[in-house]
Amino acid sequence: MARLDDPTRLAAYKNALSNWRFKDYIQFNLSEQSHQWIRKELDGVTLEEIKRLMFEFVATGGIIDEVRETRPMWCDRYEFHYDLRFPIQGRQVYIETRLHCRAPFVQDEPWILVANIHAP
Amino acid sequence: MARIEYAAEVRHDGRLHKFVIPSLQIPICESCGAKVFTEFVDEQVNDALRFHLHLFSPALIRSALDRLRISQKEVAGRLGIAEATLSRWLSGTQIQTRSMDRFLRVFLAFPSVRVALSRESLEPDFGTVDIVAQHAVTVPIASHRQHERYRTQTESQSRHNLSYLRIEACKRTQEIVWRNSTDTRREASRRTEEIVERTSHVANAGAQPNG
Repeated sequence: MARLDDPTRLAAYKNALSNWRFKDYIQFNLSEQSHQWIRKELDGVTLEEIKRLMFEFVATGGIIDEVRETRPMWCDRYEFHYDLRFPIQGRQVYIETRLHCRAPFVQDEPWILVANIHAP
Repeated sequence: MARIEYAAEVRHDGRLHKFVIPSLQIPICESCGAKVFTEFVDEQVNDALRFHLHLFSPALIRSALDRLRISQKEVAGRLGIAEATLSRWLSGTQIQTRSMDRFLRVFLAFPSVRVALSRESLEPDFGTVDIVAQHAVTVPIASHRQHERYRTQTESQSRHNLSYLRIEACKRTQEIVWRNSTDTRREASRRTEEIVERTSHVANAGAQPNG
């Protein structure tokens, strides 16, 4: 696990997060279990709110972990996945994301897919 | 996209709420058949929660603000919340608590509440007395009685007495309200009744023929 410090991918990731208010820049593809965990454990937190919190976390210097994808079902489609870990309502939350962008990235083109959210 | 009956469990405002969404529109994975929870699905769960708890929807809040022609900044200021909080209620990012929902409804329904909350900061003893009840019980009833008697009177002295006493009654009541912090309401009512009683007495006396 390493910190995302590649300037292009970091800029692309931040660019996608900065567009959190707009539709489809952060998309969710969650399992029933993951969604149930969020709605049962995090009081009043909607997926829209999670988008905002992700943006705030990174904008205030939060660390994005870049993990080389080794899982058979994902490694042929994604080189990395990106993990965020930060507290929501005092509970540590793990958010697994994938970045969609071309290199070099075009402003306002990258988007993020949130694949999993749960307690670490 | 499939339509399914979904038993939702959502924690809101410190409680876990269980309710059934009769027709949840949800994408289904073609290869494994798993339900995929997207933002669109989450919004339906939010709408169902609002319906279940009888909470204002963002659209209803917005239409109420439009109807009253009041800005978000002004509403937030009067309710004592951050403008960002109201903005999140309006965008659906956050769902208001039940207590805030009730407060918001009262605020939007009653002009007097909006006026009362229009000051930048409320006086420390605001809310320690029941202003509405006091005015409803004392001033209008006294005015009505006096008005009836007033109609029968022809002498200017009686008129003068009535107006003077009515003003005095209001003044004395206000003094009591602002001076006493405890048991003000009962005391104010008692004193007001006394004044009203005296007023009636004088009015009656004034209405009698002088012979």
